[in-house]
Amino acid sequence: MEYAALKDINLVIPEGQFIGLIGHTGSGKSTLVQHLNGLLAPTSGNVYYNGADIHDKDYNKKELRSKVGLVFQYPEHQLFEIDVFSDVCFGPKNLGLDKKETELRAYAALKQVGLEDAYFYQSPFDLSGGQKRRVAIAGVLAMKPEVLILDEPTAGLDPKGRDEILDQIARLREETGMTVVLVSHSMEDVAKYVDRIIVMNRGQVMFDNAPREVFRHYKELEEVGLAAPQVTYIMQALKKSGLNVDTDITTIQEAKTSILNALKG
Amino acid sequence: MGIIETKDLVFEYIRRDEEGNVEGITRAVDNVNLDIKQGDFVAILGHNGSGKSTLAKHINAILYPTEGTVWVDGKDTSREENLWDVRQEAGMVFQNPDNQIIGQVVEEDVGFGPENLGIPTKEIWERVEESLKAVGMYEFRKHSPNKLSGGQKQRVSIAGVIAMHPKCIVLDEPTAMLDPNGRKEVIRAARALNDVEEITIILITHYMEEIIHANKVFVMDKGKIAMEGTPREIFSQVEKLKALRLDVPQVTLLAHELKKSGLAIPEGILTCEELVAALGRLNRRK
Repeated sequence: MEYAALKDINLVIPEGQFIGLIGHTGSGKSTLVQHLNGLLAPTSGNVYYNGADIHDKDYNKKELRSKVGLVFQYPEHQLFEIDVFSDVCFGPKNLGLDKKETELRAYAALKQVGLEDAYFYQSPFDLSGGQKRRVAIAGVLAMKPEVLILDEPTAGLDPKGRDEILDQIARLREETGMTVVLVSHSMEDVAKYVDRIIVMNRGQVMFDNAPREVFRHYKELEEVGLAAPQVTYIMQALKKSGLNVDTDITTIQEAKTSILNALKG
Repeated sequence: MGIIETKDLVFEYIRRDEEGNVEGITRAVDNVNLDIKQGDFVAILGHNGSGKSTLAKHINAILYPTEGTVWVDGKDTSREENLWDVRQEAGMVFQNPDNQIIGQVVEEDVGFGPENLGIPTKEIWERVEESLKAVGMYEFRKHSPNKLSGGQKQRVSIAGVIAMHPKCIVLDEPTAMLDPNGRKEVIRAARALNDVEEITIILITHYMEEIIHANKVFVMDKGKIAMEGTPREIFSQVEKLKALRLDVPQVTLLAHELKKSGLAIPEGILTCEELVAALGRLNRRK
């Protein structure tokens, strides 16, 4: 029996965009991102990176995988080295870089994820959940990817750990111009950080637009197991109660401004 | 005496280096005193590494106290003769549904627990039916668990625990891996068990909005109980929670921000309806 996990996906991702990829479990998000660095090959259709078909015979897949970095779910399960620094060196070392370049990259990557020097020579297994996760992300950053794909990078982290990781990714993207694809089940996080949301349902793209445009369809999102951020529902309820607020709001800051204006008005 | 009680509970473990030499001792749970009544819905919050899961594992005797005592329904968990009773009375549901399901068919998976208790076949089937009905998964009884969504798998895990007829269920981050709908399904199932069956629920989570209906909240930090109260009492302390690496529901945070901007609304707003009412009063007074 054949089952199409993805169907008719046509997407163009420009350089430097921050994209949120959402969809219920089993909607095809993870299958899609595994196509972007060539871990899975399409049954039909093509995937292009900078205009070149990544499944062409003479295409350098190894280089592609260093350019499109994929951080899996629970990436800390993949840590294995005796200390944090060696673990982060593993990727660049395998790219064939010399010792000095490898170590420089590992150091820079650990700094980028905000891990303090004191942890560099500890066993990765002695760190907290959030720290381990950051080490695993550093391992991908040390490959100097142009595109960073994160599959639920904050699952299981406490709220502060969640904010720290997402803030750092946002800052990194601003500094380096990196393209980021964030797969997430938290509508609040997606609304706060990304410029564009792609909604997957049954292997197809259901919506592809700016957060406020996508969350306007909250009723359709609910039908496919998703939702809007809580704050969007609050604005809907306030509007219904007669307060003249903007209902396309997706973050606390916007909500605050809109409510204060409506009360003045 | 409550269904779960701990007295001066301490749990320590020894850290060792590569060669097995002792590096030091970590106190993961530090003098915790709990008294949870039958029928309570208790939430435990705390950052990663604060000791919540270690504490939870004491409730069904996966871990034993280094010092102090834990009683489940009056039975000391560290006494071997109580082990079976404790594990039957306090069930546990973990984060990853795929690690907890073993059966090829949903109803077989749910029947696994009571079968191991030596319950007669006829009664096992009765228990499977009532448990699946309690979590709204009865229509899936003939399905293969690996075809279910994350939320459905978690509800099957919960049904597997209910079939043991526990007095108490500990849910350790049951929604961490689920999509929004899956999270809603699991929390709804837990609340229904609490309301209808009067099963005591202990919910550990990082999603603040999931616990607004709890009747008691404990916040852990460094192995100790750092805060204790109703959701409203706890969520009124936005800054203190943030210092403990936690958060409040979006509606509570929005109300807190509006209050800081000078609006006369109360702290500790927990639901959308409460905020609409508070702002409605302000708007009319204008």
